[in-house]
Amino acid sequence: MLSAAKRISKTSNRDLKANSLFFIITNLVLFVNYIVQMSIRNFITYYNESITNYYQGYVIAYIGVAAVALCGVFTVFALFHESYSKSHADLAYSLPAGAKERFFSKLCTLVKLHILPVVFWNIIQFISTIITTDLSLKILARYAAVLFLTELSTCLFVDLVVILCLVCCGRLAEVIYTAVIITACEAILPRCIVLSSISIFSTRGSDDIEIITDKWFAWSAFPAYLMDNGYSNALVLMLMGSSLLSAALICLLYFIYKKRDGRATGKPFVFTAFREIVLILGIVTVTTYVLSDPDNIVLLPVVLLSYLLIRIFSAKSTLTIAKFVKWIAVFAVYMIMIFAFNFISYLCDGFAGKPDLSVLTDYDDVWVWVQTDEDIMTYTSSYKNPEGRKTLTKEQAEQLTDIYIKALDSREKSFSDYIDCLKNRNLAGNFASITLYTRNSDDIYSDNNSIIDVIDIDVRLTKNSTEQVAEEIKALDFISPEQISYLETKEYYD
Amino acid sequence: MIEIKDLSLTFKNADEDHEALKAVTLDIPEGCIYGFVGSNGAGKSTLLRVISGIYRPDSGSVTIDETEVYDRPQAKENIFFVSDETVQFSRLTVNDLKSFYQSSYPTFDDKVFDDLISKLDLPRKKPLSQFSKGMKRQAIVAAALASRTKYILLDEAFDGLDPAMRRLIRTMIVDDIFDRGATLIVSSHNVTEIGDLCDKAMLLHKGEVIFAKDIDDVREGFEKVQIALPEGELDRSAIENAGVEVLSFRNLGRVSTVVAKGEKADITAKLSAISPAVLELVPLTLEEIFIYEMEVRGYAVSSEEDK
Repeated sequence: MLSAAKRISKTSNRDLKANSLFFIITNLVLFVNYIVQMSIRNFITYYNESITNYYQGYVIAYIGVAAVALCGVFTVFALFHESYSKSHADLAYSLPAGAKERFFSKLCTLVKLHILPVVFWNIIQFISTIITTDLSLKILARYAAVLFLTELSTCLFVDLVVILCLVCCGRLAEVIYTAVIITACEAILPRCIVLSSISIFSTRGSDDIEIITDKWFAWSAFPAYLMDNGYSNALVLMLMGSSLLSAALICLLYFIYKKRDGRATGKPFVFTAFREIVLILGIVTVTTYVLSDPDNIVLLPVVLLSYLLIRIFSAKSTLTIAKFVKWIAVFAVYMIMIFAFNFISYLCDGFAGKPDLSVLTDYDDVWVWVQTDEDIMTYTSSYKNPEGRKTLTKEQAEQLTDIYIKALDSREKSFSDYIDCLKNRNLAGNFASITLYTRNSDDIYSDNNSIIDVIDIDVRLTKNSTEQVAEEIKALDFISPEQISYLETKEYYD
Repeated sequence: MIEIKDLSLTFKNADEDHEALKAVTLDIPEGCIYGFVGSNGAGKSTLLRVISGIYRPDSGSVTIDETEVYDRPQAKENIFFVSDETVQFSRLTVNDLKSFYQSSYPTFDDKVFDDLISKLDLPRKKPLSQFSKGMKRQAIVAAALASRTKYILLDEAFDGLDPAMRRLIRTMIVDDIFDRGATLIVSSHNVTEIGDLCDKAMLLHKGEVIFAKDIDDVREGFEKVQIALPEGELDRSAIENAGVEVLSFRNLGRVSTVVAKGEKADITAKLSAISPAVLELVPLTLEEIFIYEMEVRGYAVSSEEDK
């Protein structure tokens, strides 16, 4: 009797022979990608060691990465054919192999057909680049690492999504559209949630969080987007982590795969929960996207229509009015929950908490912006400072921040104010903001001066409260009228 | 031996669940040719798929030589399932098919496969998509026989083939089965063929076993009689009044054909009592038994002739 490992190996070799065409196509695509990459650089790389560390020809790299990932999609479809074809299910499930042998032999085959060629051609490209340039090995290794890991991370993530959909669906149509929904929504969902629920309501600056949502692309189908930012050790680590995470999750899909038997093939959704998760993912992504940019409100009826089409298409039973009403009701519940969360976020100032003022030092470089529907008032501590000092003391900074904290605490939250926040997404309306750069000395132009911390406070207020804040700022004794500038709001935004 | 105990299986649908198999209990001994017959949607193919390990039973058990089948490679090494579809092999050539099953079944015999393919004169390098239906079936049956498994399961594997091809493939299989004492399980709508081929049969209807016994025993308990009176025509009530349980009654001129349930001697004695001019017992086919059993269960609508 063969051991499980031997069975996996034999089955994998068998599948490899049966799917050798995909091996040829994948290598062909990788070869063309290699030729294109080397040609862009005329066989001499344009990569320069600089602050920006940008990669030349990254747009072409996107296309190459996408093409390689697509090869993986077709390979996975071929390997997991029994998921959506009854005749293949009859064959696969009747052969002398259990779920473990079937699943892991397919993964072994996938590695041989898809992942190993990616590794191989990246090595070839690295060696070719070494031979054809005179740049240092260190620079070339960094450059090659990012290119390789971007390809690997993309391929593994796409393979993960497609295998997940093949395991959870029993019909080809469902596999395709759920994979598309998951791939598209997974990448942008964190950013949509942050922009719609945190940035918009937070009284603190949310750049840190928004940067994290950018980094999220490392674990998505679009890590190539991060190549725009140039090389960094953090980028390499993120891509490695993303690849490992995808690989681990692919292996864990076995526990879902083994729950299927031959009966699952042909069913639109093998697991009802999966259908709901995909629907919720799509609805939340689109709705939060609309909340972050209400100009796109037309997407809401589109998402309702798509939701209903998926329900209709995947329902194998007779359509009735009662079912239709139930689906609309479920959709309404999802929307209510999303808006409820958004409203709670508004009430909780985007869950961002109060600004941390303990970091203020005696060298605070301050920018103030107070805006009403009509006027904008700005103040910069280093601009036309009559005492000649470039920064404010801690005490002076605290006087300014106290005005803001008082304004924060005086706000009255209401539903109509919540709606105003959504409508005035582009920062028109009445608000006061202050940015404090805490530094290590008072001369901001000296070579030794550096920023230690940044505090951002944004407060949405009524017109009267905003004007009150402006007056209180102007009344501070360390602020001279020459340091205050005025603009017309309408003129500024036009 | 294949032992099936209290096997139930349901297909869950959005509208309503369909109970495909209901507490099926059956033993399939080694070395026999077992036929599964039944109405459309009776559950024959479902049962074959459960035995093959394609479907997981909801309750009950299916064991092969005392080992559970589902998700057990060691049990499934003893089974070769041939479905009625061949599309899954379309891209493969005969040589690819050989490699495929060589790596799947440790007992695969290359020589047997090569001999069968030569005998059948099948092209080895053409993809199966270019074969006729009969040729595809031949190739797969060759692979089944070459795998040397103890049990071969054929799900309507002869359907759609012309009589000559059916005979050829049947002969191929039966010769091999008898040579090495393997077990063949065949499901088919062609009850006559099952009757000719098999030594045991099971009738399935709406997921339940109606009977499962030797073919000879199936015919026991049913008799077909041709009877005619010296004068005048016979009617059904006259037969029933004689104490005979009539399943079917048909008149062709003065000769009546009666299918009755009961022992031969008893039926003969009771019919003799009405002094017929002609009283002859005629062999009953499996197909007729199938039809009458289904009629009793309200499956088929009998024609005017069969009243």
